[in-house]
Amino acid sequence: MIVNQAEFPPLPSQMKRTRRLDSQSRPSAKKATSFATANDLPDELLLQILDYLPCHDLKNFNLPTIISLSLTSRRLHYIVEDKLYAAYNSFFATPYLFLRTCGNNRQISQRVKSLDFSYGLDVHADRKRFIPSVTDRRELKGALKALEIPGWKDWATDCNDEMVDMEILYAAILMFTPNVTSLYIDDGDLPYQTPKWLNVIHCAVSGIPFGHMHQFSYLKSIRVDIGALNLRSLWPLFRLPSLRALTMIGLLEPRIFPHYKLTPQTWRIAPGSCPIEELMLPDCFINTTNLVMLLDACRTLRIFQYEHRDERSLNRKEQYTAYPGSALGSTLGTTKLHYPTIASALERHCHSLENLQLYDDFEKIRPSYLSTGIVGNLQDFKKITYMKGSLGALADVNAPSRATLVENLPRALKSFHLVINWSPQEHHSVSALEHMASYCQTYVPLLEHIHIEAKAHASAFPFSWNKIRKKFYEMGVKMVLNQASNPYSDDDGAEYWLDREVWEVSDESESTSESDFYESDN
Amino acid sequence: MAATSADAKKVTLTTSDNADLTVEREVAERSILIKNLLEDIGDNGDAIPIPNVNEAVMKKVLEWCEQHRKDPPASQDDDADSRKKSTDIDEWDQKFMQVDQEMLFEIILAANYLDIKALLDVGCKTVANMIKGKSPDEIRKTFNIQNDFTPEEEDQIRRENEWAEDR
Repeated sequence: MIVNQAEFPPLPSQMKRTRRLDSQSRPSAKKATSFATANDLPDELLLQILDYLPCHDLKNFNLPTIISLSLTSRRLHYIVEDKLYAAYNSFFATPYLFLRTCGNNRQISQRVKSLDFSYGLDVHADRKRFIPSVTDRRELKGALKALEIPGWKDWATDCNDEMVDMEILYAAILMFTPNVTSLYIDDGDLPYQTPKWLNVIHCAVSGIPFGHMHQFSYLKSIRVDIGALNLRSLWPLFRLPSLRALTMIGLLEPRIFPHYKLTPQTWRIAPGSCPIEELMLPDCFINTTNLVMLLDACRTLRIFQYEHRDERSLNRKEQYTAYPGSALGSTLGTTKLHYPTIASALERHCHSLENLQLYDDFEKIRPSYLSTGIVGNLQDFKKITYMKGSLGALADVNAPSRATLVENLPRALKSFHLVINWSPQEHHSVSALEHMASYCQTYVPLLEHIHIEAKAHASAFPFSWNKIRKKFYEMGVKMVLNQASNPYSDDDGAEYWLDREVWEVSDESESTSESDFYESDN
Repeated sequence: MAATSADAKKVTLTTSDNADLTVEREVAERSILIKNLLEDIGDNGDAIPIPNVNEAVMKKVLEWCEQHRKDPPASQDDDADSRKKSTDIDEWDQKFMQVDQEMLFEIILAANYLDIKALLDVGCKTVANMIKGKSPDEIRKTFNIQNDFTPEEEDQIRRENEWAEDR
């Protein structure tokens, strides 16, 4: 169950378990003539059975069963305890009681590996609040006092307050769980500015001792679904020495907001100092300068994913319109990626990068992406095996030669997800694909799979894909095409809805003539 | 080389209670232990001793192997998917597992010893389904487990676990 013995030494309970395994399982396996009972199953088999009873799986929710098992007998209690306390998810249980257990029992709190917290104005608002008893309050106060953190009395008062913000309890849980490896945060609005969990991490990475609190030595992966946070408060994550994977979903850092501008005072990360190897930024909207700062901060990235989609940022358009004089369109327009700048920031990672996803999905609203430039030649990135990008970002759509696309691709590429955006320039340069199909064995000999995603539906962007598909097939490359047949088909799934809206606005021009539509966009 | 000529070949297994069971090699080779053994020592016609499994259990295991003789071997991805394990069991296997509890555990132990992953999975799923949704008392009754907690211990565990009951 534990991946790395060196990093996660066995807990006392597990050492006992190994002994039990030796003394109990062997004899039971040998006595072949008498019949077996549940007690004859060695721990390893009981653990396999428990694999079918996940605690926190929404579809197969077995937390109550695991609780039952833990109260059945000492042996079963021992066996399930690791599993029972491996994870806490605020979706399934209120935090105060979990905090109480972690504060009172160090052995238990050391078992916690994964924490999943959701907070915000309406989050878990329908749930009845737990009212701590006098004993509860006293115990929690004692546990916080024992940590000897500055301001422990305030923490105790806050946590024991009946109307405490859940997020404060989550932060307190974090203080008691030294072996946590994964953190999942669903961020939301709070009555105070920086969430306490980030304060706690800030204290741990600041270098100044924070009572006896641990330093998150095993925290390997963090996923934050961002509601209100920005990089000015998220920077401590980049200082965690053990962090290897960071996912920030929906981070909004458009240039227009002056307070999103990072300075050495607000972004205290030295270039190349951060050990994150996997940086995933899905559904984000980050200006090129800040994106480059993130790329510079990391020492060696294996995975870099930046995907911008308008859906999420448009949902929060009140944030944009709140700024006087910033019409939605012009705000969005100032936050275009500048691909050549990104590409030179990526060079730091050219010996380590294996997976590169760089995709900006704004062209349908702002089709004049000519100022974005192209990523350019990626042949120095010798380890990239998976890549996602748009045709406009990878091939110079204005160049007369169609050869640039395949020539610019990393040579070790195995799987390629190519998006053809709404822009007519991209549609015109689709012949670069034909060239790619003919020459892929020369430039990308390891290519196995190409996934082409055409944003425009087939009636607006007709193309005889079969010819290319056949050519790829002859070269041993499997091609998959994803294109809606008409604007009202549901082929495209959920993400189609916004497309449809945009389309309906321009429906008139489309019905008169396709070229009119494109020209009006330009 | 052996594969083509040995396809229809039979092997004999000697169980812990000295019964000789003769089955087709393909059926017996659902057990990775037997398969590796045959590959290592070569099939010289000698009976293979299976000292940890008795005749009744071995017969039952071989019945399962016979039914599943043509199943594709478990793929690499199976392990990666193990996190999303469902407790669904196909109909034949469900019927097959309708045995008394002693036999069920014997089958699980034998499947583990003989290294028959798919059978072990079915056994574990069956037990998991027997546990699912039960109270501590019901679990103790079902599996004849002694409650060896002191009342103090029980109170402490109850209090520690209270978080999971308050939803």
